[in-house]
Parts: sequence; C-alpha cells; structure tokens
Amino acid sequence: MNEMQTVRRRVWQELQRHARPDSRYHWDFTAFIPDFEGSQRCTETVAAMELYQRAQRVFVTPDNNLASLRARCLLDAKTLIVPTYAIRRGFWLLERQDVPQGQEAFAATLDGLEVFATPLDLDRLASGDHLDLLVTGASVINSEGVRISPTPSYFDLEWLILRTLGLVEQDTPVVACVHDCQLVDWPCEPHPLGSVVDLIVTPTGAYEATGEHPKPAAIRWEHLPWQVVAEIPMLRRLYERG
Amino acid sequence: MTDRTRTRQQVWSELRAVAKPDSRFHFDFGEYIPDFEGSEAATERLTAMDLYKDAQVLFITPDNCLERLRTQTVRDGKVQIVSTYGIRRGLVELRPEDVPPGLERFAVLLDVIEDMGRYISLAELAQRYRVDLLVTGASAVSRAGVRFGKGHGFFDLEWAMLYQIGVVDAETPVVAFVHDCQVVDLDLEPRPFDTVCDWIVTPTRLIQVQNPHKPVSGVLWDMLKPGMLEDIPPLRELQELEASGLAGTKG
Repeated sequence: MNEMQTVRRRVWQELQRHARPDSRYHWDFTAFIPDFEGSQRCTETVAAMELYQRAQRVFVTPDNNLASLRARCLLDAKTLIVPTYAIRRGFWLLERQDVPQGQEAFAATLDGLEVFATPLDLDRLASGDHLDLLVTGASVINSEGVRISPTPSYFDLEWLILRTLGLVEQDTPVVACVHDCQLVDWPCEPHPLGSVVDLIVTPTGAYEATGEHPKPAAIRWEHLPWQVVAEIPMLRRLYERG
Repeated sequence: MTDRTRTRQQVWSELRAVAKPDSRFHFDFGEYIPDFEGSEAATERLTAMDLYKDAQVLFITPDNCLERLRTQTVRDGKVQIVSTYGIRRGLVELRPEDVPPGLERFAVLLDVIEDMGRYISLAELAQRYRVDLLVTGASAVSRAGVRFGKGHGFFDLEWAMLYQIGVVDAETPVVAFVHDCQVVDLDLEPRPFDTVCDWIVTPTRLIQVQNPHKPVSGVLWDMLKPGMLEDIPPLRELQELEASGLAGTKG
C-alpha cells in the first residue's frame, strides 16, 4: 500500500467511530462522504460567518454531513444549488418557496431533494447568476486545503464546471466541513484537476487554509478519463461545446 | 444467459420509460427497485383490499415503489417493519406514534426512516409481533407469482428469517407490487427458496395466484452467497438463536 492509501485508511478507521452510515452505501467511504458527530456545529460555524450571511446563492455538495447546512440555507432563504449524486443528473435548485415550513430538514436529504428540488441542466445553470459561496465535504484534506486523494473528487469536477461557466472566480470562497480526524498534516500536491479550499471548518474550529495553490481556471481534458466524462452529462456537454 | 436474466433485461428497458430515479442509483435498476408512474393507483388498489385493511402489522421492503404504501401504513395507524437497504443494518420498526402528524411522507424515505423508527432484533420482533401481510417490489414477476428481484435474493431471505422465528407462516399473504410492464408471461418453476406471491398488484389490476409456493425450510445456510452472513446482522442473530434452541430449524 502506498503512503497516501495508508493515510486515507487510517483516517477512515478513525472516522467510522464518529460517522453515520449512509442509507444505501452503509460504511463504504469510497462511495460517499458521511455525516459525523459535530456536523451541526460545523453548520453553525459556517452560518455565523459573514461570507455566509451576505451570500445569496450558495452551492453545497450532496455530502451527508452537509444536510444540516442545506436545511439552514433554506431557513435563511438563500438560493441553494446542490449537485445530484455523482453529478449523474445535473444539479438541483432549491429555494425557500419550494419547501413548506417545517420540512426543510427532509428537503435537505438526498431523497428529499428528489421530492422538492428543480433540476438544473447545463443551460439552465449557465443562465443563472454567479455563486457567492461554495461549501463541500471531503474525505481527507490537509491544512493547505488540498484533498488527499489519488483521483479528482466530484467537487473538483463541480468546481471546473462552475468555473468554465463563469459562475465562480478564483476568489469565490470555498469552505470544507470535515470532522477533526479528516484534517491531516500531510503535504500533498493537488491533482492536476484538483481544486483547493480556502477555509476548513471542523466541530472544534475554523482554519484558514495555509496553502498557496491556485484553484484551477479551466478543464484540462487530457487529465480526465473518458469514462468519467461519459458518466457526467454536464461534462460531456461542455466537452462537445469545445 | 438464463431465462430470468434475459427477461429482467427486457423488462428493465420498458421500465425505464416509467421509472423514477433513485437519489444515488439514478436509473441503475441492478441496485434498487424503482418507483414508477401509477404507483399511487397501485397503492390505492392494495389498500382497498381486506388483507390490507385487516392487517395490523406489515412487513414492507425498502423498495422505492413502496414509499406511498409505507406512508399510508403510518396514516392508517398500522405498524410496519421495514428492512434497511441490503438488510445491512437489520430491520426497522416504524409505528404511527413515531411520526409527527404531517410528516408521514418523509418518515418513510430511506434517508429518514432509521431516525424516525428504531432498529428491532429478530428476538424482539418474535416476542412482540405477528406479521399479517408482506409487501415487496420486484424487477419482474411471472403471472404465477414467481418474482425476480435485483438478483440479490433479499426478500427470500427476509421471508425465511421471519418464517423461522415464527412471525409469519405459510398462510401469511405476500403481495408483489409492480408496474404492468413488470408482469411477464414466463412459465417459471419456483426454486426451493422462491417465495411465491399470493397477489400481484399493479396500477391497473389485481392478479391472484392459486396455491403459491411458500418455503418452509427457514434459512438455507449453505445456499447463502459469500459475504451475506458478514453483511446481514439478522442472519448472525438467527444463527445464535438457532444455537440456543430459540429459533426453529428446517421443517
């Protein structure tokens, strides 16, 4: 096993003690980012930040630990954009008026999004306004804001889609919410397609990422396996547009 | 390719036109049983039947097409036992009193039900309940009530476990809940572990099956697929119950 795999495995062993299984994936952390003890505190930390409070359009990944933040966005009447799982059916749009009072927590689950949210394909997404804030989970991340992963994450691909459409810029804030055990001090160069985060929020603290890596500005197709592009309709459309 | 596999593929291509995607599996029918257009009508058909009305305790699989039934079960004041996906975390008991009024439709979603209900062991299930009715989805079902699931055999395992602990018997009705395109004209012999349905309910019709084959052997331990015992906690519990003489063995 190489060193990166060792780091990831060690984190996952610890994480399972604090995490909740997925309804379908159980404990398979290669397939999902889990909810964990203290995720609600991460939500409160983000919600108290000025960059959240002044944000009108917030992108939140479908990771399980961010369900409470997605619900909070609805309660705070923000426009919420959430990718479908594995970006297989584009993105979701969800707004306050879509969800009756008292049902926000359900609407924020992946199953709930299927009930309440509006689909956004590439064209609809592109015609919308820019995004003010992006919040993501991560499997394992270092203090420089770099994900420890042998392959690009779905968030990396989502960032590239949004960047290509001009909906985010280099200085659009990106926050990662993770459990403390998922934040490691292991230096790592980002994958060529890899994005970086600006802020890392855990149940016990909030940390500015110390790294100097820029966020990618364009999709470098030579680094994307065709298989990945084939399974993500938005990427395929972007590729075909040239 | 066997008859069952070929039929399943054919059905899936028709089903694609009427199916709803899963939040994670999208349209990958090998991983889940989809909800479909007309499931509301099928649910009404089922809930109009005496065997539903008279049931106090239902066993309902976590298939997406059964979301409305699970919701109605709560609204009608009945208890339901629902398996977790892949039976990986055993069985969930959801009682009407567990669900705040107005939230019935959400309480039964896979992402919510384990928080609204509670896990129940086989031992506790046997102590507190008898199951009056079982309802399952399927990938396809023959007119003679022989189901094909995703190929994983979970419902047959669930039947075998419930039978072995004595909460169901050979008379307990089993209903298959499917879209019309999932009912096929294949003449299939049930295998020893195939739990054949008493009724098939679709959006447009009700099909009754005469003398459906119901396995009475309990869990066939040497037929379990590799990994099943490790992955399915109630199977391990059942082994312990058997070993302590608390759960009937074959026959």
